Amino acid sequence: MIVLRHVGILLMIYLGLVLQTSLVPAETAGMGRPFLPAIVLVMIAVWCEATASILWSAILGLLIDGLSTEHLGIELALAAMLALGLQWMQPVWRSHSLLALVSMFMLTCVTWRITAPMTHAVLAGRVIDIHSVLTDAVQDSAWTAVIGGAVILVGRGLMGHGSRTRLINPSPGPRWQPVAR
Amino acid sequence: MSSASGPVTCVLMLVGAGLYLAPDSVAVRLRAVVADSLKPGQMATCQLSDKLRAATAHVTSQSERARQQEVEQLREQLQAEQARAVSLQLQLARLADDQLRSESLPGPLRSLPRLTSTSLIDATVLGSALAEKWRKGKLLDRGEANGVRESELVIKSNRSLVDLGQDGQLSPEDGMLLGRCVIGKIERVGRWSSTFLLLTDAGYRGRAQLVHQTDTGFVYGAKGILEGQGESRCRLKGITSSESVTVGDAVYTATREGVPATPLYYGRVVEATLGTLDTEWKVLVEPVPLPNDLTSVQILRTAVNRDRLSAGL
Repeated sequence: MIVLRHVGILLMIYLGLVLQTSLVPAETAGMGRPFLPAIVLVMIAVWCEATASILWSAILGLLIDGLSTEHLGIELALAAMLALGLQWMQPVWRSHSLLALVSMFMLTCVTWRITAPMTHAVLAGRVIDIHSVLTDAVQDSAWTAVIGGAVILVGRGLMGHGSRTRLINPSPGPRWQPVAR
Repeated sequence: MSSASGPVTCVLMLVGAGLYLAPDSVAVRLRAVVADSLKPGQMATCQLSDKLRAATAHVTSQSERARQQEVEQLREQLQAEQARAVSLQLQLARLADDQLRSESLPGPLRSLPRLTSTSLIDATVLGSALAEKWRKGKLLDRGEANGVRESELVIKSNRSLVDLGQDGQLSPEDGMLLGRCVIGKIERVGRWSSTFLLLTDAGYRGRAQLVHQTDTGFVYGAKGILEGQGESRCRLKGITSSESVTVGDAVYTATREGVPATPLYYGRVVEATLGTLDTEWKVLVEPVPLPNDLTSVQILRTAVNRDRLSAGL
């Protein structure tokens, strides 16, 4: 079961990056766009125990580093820190309510989308337009929250969340076990 | 949260810092690996997206086609209704004329019908290829030797043809309508076919009257002669400088003998200029646009009333 979970996470990371790079437009003329890795990061935090989720998040960050033209390592470190932060905030989202998860999508996305460009700019000694970074981050987080919420609803619908089992097993406790209502 | 989370994160941050300081060759190799590994998934996603888009476009084009068909049907329905309305107007005008005549005539003559009758008949415009064959007699199976031949006037003319002639009791100057609008008139009448002039053809002349729309309703204006110029617009002549013309005024047929009092629409004024020394307005009229394939028209036929002739015998 543990192997299946990790294979599932690997597939989720791959799917998230593929969709982000093939379907999400690169330029949206100030309209914002969903940042799917933020959804993946939250889902990893929900599905895995703390250390594993940090490791998987670092792998996700490393892959994002590989997709960018900036210096390597920044996204990896950011993703690992975000995963740690999500573990700290576990009491907030452990109820797995839709509102809590959507809030996590927004928070993760906005933090990531602000921190990453600012860190790159500071380390490279570039001037950065903070207003546009903030605007982009807020718009992206709104899109991400909408897409993430839709994914959760579809997943719950497919898994029959309302009747017998939950898609996401609340932690702590044994994971991936159906919870009888 | 596991107690190992903090140290693991610290280690990963160190890894990140190491990668930040790593030589460019490492970055190039990592980017190549990541790009190559994502490529199959990206291609599959793009193919799937294209298929979905094509399917959506197919559905959209189908609905668009259905809508166009519906529009076409409604247009035909509208034309038929307009033709019916004109026919009813003609009938009404004829009845009104009959009533007036019966009231004005002395007693014994009141029962006499009118000498001429006006009616609306459908005609088909012959396409250029078909008209050419018709003129050469190729469509008449008995041929010229048996004396069956279209009249010379029609044959020699290079105008367009309708499939009615003397057999349909047409006569020159009969108006040609499309819906409620005048689009031309019969020029020459053969035995079975007739040539016609469109409003825009050079040589077209017809009596016309301006109709001006005011807040209180429509007001009849000056009368003139509408002339085709061989261009997309016609010219309305004979409007003296003392008359009023405004761009946007409607132009209708002017009543004349033999044609019922109901005016029919020609078009609208698109240009009206009057020079300082001019005695007449220069008025350009835009007729109603014709469909690309003009195949079916109505002819406003004015013919001798056979009932009246037989009554006189």
